[in-house]
Amino acid sequence: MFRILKKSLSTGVVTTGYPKGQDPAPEGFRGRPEVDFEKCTGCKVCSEACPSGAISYEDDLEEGVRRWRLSYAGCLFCGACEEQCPYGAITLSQFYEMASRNKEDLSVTATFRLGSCSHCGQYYETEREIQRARKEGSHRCR
Amino acid sequence: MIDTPLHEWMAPFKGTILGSETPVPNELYLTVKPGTCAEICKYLYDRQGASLVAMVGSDERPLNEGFNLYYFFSLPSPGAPTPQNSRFFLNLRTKVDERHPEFTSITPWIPAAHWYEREIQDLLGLKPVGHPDPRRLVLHENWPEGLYPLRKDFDYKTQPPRAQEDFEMNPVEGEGVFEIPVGPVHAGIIEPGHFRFSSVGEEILNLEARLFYKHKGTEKLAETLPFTQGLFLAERICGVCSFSHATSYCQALEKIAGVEIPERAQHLRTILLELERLYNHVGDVGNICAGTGLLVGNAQGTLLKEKLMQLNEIITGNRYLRGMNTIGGLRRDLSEKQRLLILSTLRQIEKEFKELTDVIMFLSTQRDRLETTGVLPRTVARDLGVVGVAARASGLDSDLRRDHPYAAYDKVSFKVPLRTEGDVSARVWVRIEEAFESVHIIEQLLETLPRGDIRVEVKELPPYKSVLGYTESPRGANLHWIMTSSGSYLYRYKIRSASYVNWPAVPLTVPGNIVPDFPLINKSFNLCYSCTDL
Repeated sequence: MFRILKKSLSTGVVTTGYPKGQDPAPEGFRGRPEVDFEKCTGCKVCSEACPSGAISYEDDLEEGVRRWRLSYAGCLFCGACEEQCPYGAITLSQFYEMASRNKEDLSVTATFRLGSCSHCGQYYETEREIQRARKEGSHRCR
Repeated sequence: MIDTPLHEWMAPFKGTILGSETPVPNELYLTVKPGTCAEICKYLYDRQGASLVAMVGSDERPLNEGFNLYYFFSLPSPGAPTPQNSRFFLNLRTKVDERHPEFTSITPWIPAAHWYEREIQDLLGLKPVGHPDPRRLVLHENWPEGLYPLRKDFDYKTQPPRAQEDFEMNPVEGEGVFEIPVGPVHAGIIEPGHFRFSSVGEEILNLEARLFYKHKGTEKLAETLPFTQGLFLAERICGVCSFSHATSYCQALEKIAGVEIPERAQHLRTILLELERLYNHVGDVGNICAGTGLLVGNAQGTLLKEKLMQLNEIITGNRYLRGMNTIGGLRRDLSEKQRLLILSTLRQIEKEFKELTDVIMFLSTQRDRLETTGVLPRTVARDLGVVGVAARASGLDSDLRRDHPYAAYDKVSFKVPLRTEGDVSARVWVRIEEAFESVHIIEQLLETLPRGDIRVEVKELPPYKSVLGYTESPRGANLHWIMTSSGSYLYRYKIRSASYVNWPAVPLTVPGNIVPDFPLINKSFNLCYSCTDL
């Protein structure tokens, strides 16, 4: 009995003050994926890597755009997108406070213009990706 | 290891063996004539000390192979000098004709087969003739007759109509007998399962459990995935055995790919497997106190578990050790700073865990609740093929880490605790002893951690190859059997978790105890519903 009492008194209160104080996640924590659109070319490798379909895209061949979406609601925080992105454009941050009142706030969307083939006129890849490939002389082999 | 020539111990059945393969040194696959399997199984069980560890049904009609049944046994290696690495896996494969979709049930002789056969009946439509309890198991009565989801002609996205049937639970009748239904919605954040008690006053006469409320088609989903994405599915079969399941998956595919992962990766995997065992056992010991109403014990146990989970988060970025495994090794390395952190944290945890268990396990009120409660007799455990903590608390000396070593377990020395009382107290003590052994194993591995790479690249897998991946999770032996498909997809993925074999034993330990003992007994087994239901 007394040993229990002694143990409890020596442990004290361990509850932290959060959310009054900050409680940052440690370095390396697999938190919310962040996209750097300076680096992203809309190549959609992330979408193909994503096991849960949280990253998706749709090519609108009438308007000539690729609509890309990352939904935190479907994200597993597995980091496959981070690993597979050839340009390091997507990284998992330490941010975890993602509670939201509506689902739309949990999506990041982007629209990329598609480039068309000079021969047949068909849309085939985003303009950014085409320009990068032309400049670097390489396909997405990283 | 299999040294003895095949014909010596399979001599009585020489004529029935159509083919044999040894894809890895400790797995022997025999294809046998249809209709002969039941006899061979009985012989192996009775005369060769085999335990049935899994049974898988697979629809191989698209491969012109009909339906196939695979019976997995663990057998003592003939002439093995030490308990270490003393067993091997034997697989019997037999065809079932689709025009006569039935097979002889082996449950009357090998009770451990009971759930496997019912599952094959529900999901593949193959009838186990002679099964003593052929009721629905996996698919509840709202699933229509004649629809078998694991058949290849059943599309994953099918939305079947709801059926309206009844499920019979065994009634107990008599003067003053009270029927208490508990669940599937429970008072607490725990998984769904239904328990039907029949009691007279406080004493329980009978308990029947109904599970598979969390059946979500995991195995079927796996058949639509490339092997790289199947890994993330494997990690999420369960929360607390996440790393074990992922490791089993990776090990199976690495064997199929024929790669050896680097030594450093083997050590790190083993460290993470033991970290998983440690946080589970510490938490479970604290949780037992919730069952007895000793909230101080629960709070202190939870505090220690939290420290371990925060350690997990610092080391891997995830409290449940997710995101570390990959086919070919690990995705992240361990830095020197992290290595030292693990050592210092474990020293602290070991000291505090000893202090905690020294107090709570010797309180007379606690002992009164735990001792002689929920006894699982050794014969029942053996017949049902119980594994893990529950087996070792009932006198069954089995542990995959020692009997079928994998990862770096052959490089460390550790004790496997064994108790014979089979009660709640024995199961708690096995966990406590294993927790201290886990600390000891991790320390050995951290001291001898080799330098080098942590990963080899695995880009594709040969099609239609199958092999076992297995680990001893905190609950017991997990077996994963994978058959690859073309294009590096998965053809069949069978997950046989420890909880799947142990669940049927739980209701057998309850009669004769009082109603408040049930949550305590349940906590002492601490099985996952999600791992079982898939």
